[in-house]
Amino acid sequence: MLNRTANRLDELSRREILLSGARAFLGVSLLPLLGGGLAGSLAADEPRALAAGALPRRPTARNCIYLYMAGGMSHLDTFDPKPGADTAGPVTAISSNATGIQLSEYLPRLAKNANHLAVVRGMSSTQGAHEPGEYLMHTSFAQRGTIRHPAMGAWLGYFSGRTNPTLPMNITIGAGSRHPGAGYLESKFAPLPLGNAQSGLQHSARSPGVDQAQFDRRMGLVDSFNHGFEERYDQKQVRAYKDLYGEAVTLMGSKDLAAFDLGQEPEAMKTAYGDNEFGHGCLLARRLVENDVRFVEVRLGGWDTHDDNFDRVQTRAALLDQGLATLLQDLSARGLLEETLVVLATEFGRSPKINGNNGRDHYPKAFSCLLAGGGIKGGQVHGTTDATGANVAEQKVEIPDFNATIGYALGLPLDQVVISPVGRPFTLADKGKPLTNLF
Amino acid sequence: MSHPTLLAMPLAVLLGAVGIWSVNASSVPAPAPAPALGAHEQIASPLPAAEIANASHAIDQLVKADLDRHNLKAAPLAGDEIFLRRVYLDIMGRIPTYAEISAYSADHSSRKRQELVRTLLASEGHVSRQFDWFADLLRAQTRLSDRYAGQAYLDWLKQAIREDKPYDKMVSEMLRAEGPALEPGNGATGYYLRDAGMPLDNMANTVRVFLGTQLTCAQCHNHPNDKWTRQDFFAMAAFTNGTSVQAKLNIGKGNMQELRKLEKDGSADLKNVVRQLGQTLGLKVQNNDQTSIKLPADYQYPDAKPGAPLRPHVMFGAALPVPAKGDPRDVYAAWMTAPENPRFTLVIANRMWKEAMGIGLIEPVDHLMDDSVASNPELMDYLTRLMIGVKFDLRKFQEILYSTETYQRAATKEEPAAGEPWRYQAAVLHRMTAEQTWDSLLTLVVPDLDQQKGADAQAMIAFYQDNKDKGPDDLVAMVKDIAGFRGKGKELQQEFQELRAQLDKARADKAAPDVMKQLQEKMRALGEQRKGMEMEADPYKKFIKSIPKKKAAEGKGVGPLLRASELPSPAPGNHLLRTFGQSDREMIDNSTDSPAVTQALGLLNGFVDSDVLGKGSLLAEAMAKAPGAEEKARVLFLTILTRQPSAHELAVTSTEIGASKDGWANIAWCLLNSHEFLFVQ
Amino acid sequence: MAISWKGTAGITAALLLGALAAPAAEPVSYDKQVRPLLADRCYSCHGPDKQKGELRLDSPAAIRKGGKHGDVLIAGNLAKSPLYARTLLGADDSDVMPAKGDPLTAPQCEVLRQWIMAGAVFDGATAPVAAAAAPGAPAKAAAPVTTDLDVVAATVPAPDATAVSALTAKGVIVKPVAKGTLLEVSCAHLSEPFGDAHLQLLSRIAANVAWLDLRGTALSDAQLTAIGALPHLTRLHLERTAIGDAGLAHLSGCAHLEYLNLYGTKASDAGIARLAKLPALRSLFVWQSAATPAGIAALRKAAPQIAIDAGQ
Repeated sequence: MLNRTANRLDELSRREILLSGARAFLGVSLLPLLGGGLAGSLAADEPRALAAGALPRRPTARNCIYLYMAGGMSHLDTFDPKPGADTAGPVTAISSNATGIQLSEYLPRLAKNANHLAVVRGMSSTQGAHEPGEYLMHTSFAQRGTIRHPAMGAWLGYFSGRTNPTLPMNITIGAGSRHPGAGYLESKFAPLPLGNAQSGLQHSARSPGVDQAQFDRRMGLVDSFNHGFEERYDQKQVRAYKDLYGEAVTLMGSKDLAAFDLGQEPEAMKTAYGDNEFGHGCLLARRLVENDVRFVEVRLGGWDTHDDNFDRVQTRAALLDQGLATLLQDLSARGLLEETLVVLATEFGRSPKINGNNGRDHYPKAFSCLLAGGGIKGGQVHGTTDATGANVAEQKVEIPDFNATIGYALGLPLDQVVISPVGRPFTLADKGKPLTNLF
Repeated sequence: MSHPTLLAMPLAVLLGAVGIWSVNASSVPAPAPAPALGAHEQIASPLPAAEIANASHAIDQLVKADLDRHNLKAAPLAGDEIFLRRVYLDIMGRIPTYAEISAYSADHSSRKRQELVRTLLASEGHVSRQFDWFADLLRAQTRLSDRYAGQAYLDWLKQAIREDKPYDKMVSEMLRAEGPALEPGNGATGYYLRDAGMPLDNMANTVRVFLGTQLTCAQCHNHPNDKWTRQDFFAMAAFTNGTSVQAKLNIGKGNMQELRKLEKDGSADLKNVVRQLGQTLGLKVQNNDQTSIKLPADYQYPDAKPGAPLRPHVMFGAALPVPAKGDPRDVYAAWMTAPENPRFTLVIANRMWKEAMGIGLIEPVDHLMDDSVASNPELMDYLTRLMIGVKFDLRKFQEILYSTETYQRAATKEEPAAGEPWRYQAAVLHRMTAEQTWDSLLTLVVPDLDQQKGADAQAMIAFYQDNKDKGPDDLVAMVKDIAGFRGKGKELQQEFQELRAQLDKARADKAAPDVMKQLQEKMRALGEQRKGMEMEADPYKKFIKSIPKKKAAEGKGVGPLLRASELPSPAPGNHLLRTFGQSDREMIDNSTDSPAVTQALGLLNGFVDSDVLGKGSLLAEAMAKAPGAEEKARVLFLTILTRQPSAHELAVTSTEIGASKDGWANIAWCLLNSHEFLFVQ
Repeated sequence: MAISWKGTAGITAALLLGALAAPAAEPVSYDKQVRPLLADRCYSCHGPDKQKGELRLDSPAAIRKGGKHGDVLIAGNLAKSPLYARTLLGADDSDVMPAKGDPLTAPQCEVLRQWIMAGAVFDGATAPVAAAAAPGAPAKAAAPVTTDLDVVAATVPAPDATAVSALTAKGVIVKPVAKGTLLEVSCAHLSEPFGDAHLQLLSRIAANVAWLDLRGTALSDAQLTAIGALPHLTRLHLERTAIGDAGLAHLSGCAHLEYLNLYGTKASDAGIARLAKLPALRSLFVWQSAATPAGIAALRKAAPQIAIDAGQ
């Protein structure tokens, strides 16, 4: 079975090569014209890959909302229930609106929206601790002390660029202090980190009492004052701060700042998403994507259920269920779901064995993630685990494969080699192969 | 807390074990030709200036030898202005005040740099700075494991720094902690509360933090690219297998059943009260002297069966045999913190070096392998022996490092290449940490900043002491009382809301003034009643709020104007501290100095205008006092950038200052938004 | 990437040929053209005697079932139809089909291409198990899909660079959809209100515009005339504009339009009823428009291939 997947993927990529080869050939004569025309018209700091018109495939998704379940979400009590197994605990499974897909009873709303979901049940990680696990999931690479790899939002910026000229294209909401961000790419591809959704983007307006003229005057003085320092220390870290002050001033002038303001949503909408941090995060993610912010990561923590697993998973799952189900419906109604890939990821699953504290421990060997929208065919399951959810039985998905699938949907060049500042070659999802059968 | 058992440990036996420390874990080449340190055991306390100078000089010699080897030239020493700013930020965690700069300028002693280092290390400001460093390393939070009050742990850490408790002793106290978490002086228990319910993770964290070694992988399988086996991991975990966190209120089963029944019948929130009281009065780290652990059910190697019992065994080197009875952690802690443990000493020496110089001799600092090599092995070896020589007195160790010429060099113009070893020919330009940024801004706002204190655990501890000896019946009565208060509180709250609705309606209907007045009066009375309830009648609430002794000044929209170390750990997600990369204290060493647009917005349009330049700030007062535009400009440059303006800068800025009433604010704003403010040279 | 020039040149010719060919007067027939070709070149390995790769190609059911590596064709999608794609590989490629003998000729490939693009319909009474095959068949095989952006892309010349620059200067975002000449154009973040000046510039790159985002702009019904004239438009965002039924009438010529977003517009039942005739339309969004449940139901009945999202 594994073999079959591998072969099939290999063959699909061959087909891709084949057809893109044909296009590339056609493109040879056309590209100089196109490249010249577009390159000339693009802002100087737009990614080089874009200027060359180098995205290999038509993307199936323009944007991505990435929901990260921090702590290791129990697959058994959410998306891969095992009713009847000794290790199931008190959780039962319920049928969904997609044939053959059952979810945990903790996810009643998502069960009614399973027609949107591709449940990836054969996930498998090599990292059993939070930090390296989270890092691997975000970057496709094992964590090393000597280099930091970029996360997907930065890759999207690097290869494809922004579609809103004044808003940042990559935003995290409550993502904690050590998100891999831009990794070794330039810091301008790093996400703008929002502490939480409710307070949105703080300080985006001039201080009261400071008018535009005074602000401009001050900025002019800062620039002239910084000049000497920038000359003395011609360093990447200093340039990064110069860039981000420029970015901040652009952002202050954006007409789309209301995108950050949840206050503009009707109460009913807030209630539908859930009046909690995750619900607010999902709602803000929708507002941002609607304004062409291309990659938004929202984090929901608290899944590290070493003790009292079932009560705690139920509480978390309730937040997830409401936030994500509403997000899918809302995106769908606005015509955004077709263009927006919704990803649900976590560092690992939880052990089938229930420990002495009625908890489940870390379990990287088998777990579940989700994909929805953005060209993904809904109502399907990829991969299966065995009777207790302990092992992947069919269609194992390594983390680089999962990330390659995200990259594939976004039309990113999976095989393009990028050289890190220390001269090492990398591709964006390591050697992952996209799960093209999900599209 | 004293540990008689530790003191009674036959140290000679421990030291005797040195011979069987077979692991070549450090990068130290066996006999290093390092300069003489003097007999370790004879180093007096406090360290005489001459000893400091000797050791600092020895370090400088080793750095120079390395530079010569690589044909590099050392940068000149930084000037006084740069040095002053750097050393304040590094030791105090903030920029110097105008008064502190003046005092330093007035000092004409030839040893004034060394004397300043010593003074700063003994100050309260240093406690803040070193606490931030430890809190990041230990993931020390105000709420531990998302449920237990951690303030006592934070207090314990600060006190340990304040009294310069030797590092090995600190670690030993944490590793051997047990007993009630709120017993006075027992804050070290927070080390286990932090990882409650996760003993395996706790072990992996311990090994990473104190031995700089990554054992996490071996939790599930043999380490793929290091030598540790899964069995090594579990043999280590066996040391703490008998250690657990308890948070139960001792009221007996019968009482609990009765309370449950009561709760079912009525609306009182009894279960919650029991839980919360359990998490305070009953919170303790318990050790049951267990001396074995079972291998996990999925143990996959042929050398042992799944579920087989395993005795504690140290992962490298040798330790005393674990006695059949008693706490196995005594052996564990003694092994861990023994001066001869090659990784324990090396790791803290390297971490301290990194804190001072910006880049560790071994990077990363917590991924040691047998073949890890320091960029300057002789220096690493010397520092390791020095750490033993000062008996893990971090303050002394830091005094030596900060007195070196290596530390005092001018900053490098070129960025050190990533992945290349750094040879310390110059200081490394770096952005201030989040805490340094915030604390430095506060230096311009709040007088006597280092002495301003936030919440501590005193109220909690008092509550614990008042009630810890209560028997089950008294406790049950207390539970009912508290639940009753809360029930009443809720009723009042409801009444309050209803009243407010009436008031709103009355206002909308343009009711007669006397009706309005009557309603308002009712509301006020209700408010008073509620406040009284919360503060006086509900002892639990009173404790949980852990009211600071003196209320700190509040900034405009930023909460209390207190140093980072005195704010909740971590600060709230939208606080300027977090914007600048303060660790969320979820993972080890999790702070970051990555740039983010929100940082620029925060300084452009936030705290600088609202508080630093606002009425009543120290800076505004200084500006009111300073006569004339030029003097104002000088004061601004000194207080914000710790230097005099150049002639050109003075001309430009004093013109701007003279041009309008807000002129000085424009200049201050510019300086605070400049690279020079944010980067430490 | 090891692609022989011979191979790619062949593909190019085939693609170009197909794309440029006028709609065939007579569609390719499975019975008359495809089946004989398969019988001649494929049955020997994928038929009654041998089933290499667990694949048979000697009945519609077997073709639909695919082989051990999955589907061999998806109607309307050449990239996902190895039945066609693998015939294009170079002779030295280990995956080329047929594996034995000469490669298929260009006209033979073209037969497969046209048949797949026209929906891979199994016509004729001789199809042995056509009826029985229905339940397991891919849903898409039933409805012919007439667009393939890959094919379209190959025929479109490079965009007028001065027009692109002028649009960009006005805050319009212009990006290649992928490698090639088709463009994604977004007018959602303009520096000045949307107007005829933008339309004139758009008309200069008319053939290149594949995705167009006009959401929230001051677009009028009349201005949709120019939009309807964009020949390769596949995705169109009109949400939160003031357009109504009169405007929608101008879209009747959009043969490639797959996605149309009318959320928050004045489109009503009469307007959306016309959309049933758009041959490629598959996704329609009408939440908070003037369309009624009855009108939506009627459209669903008239054009079941269109997925309509009307919100909650």
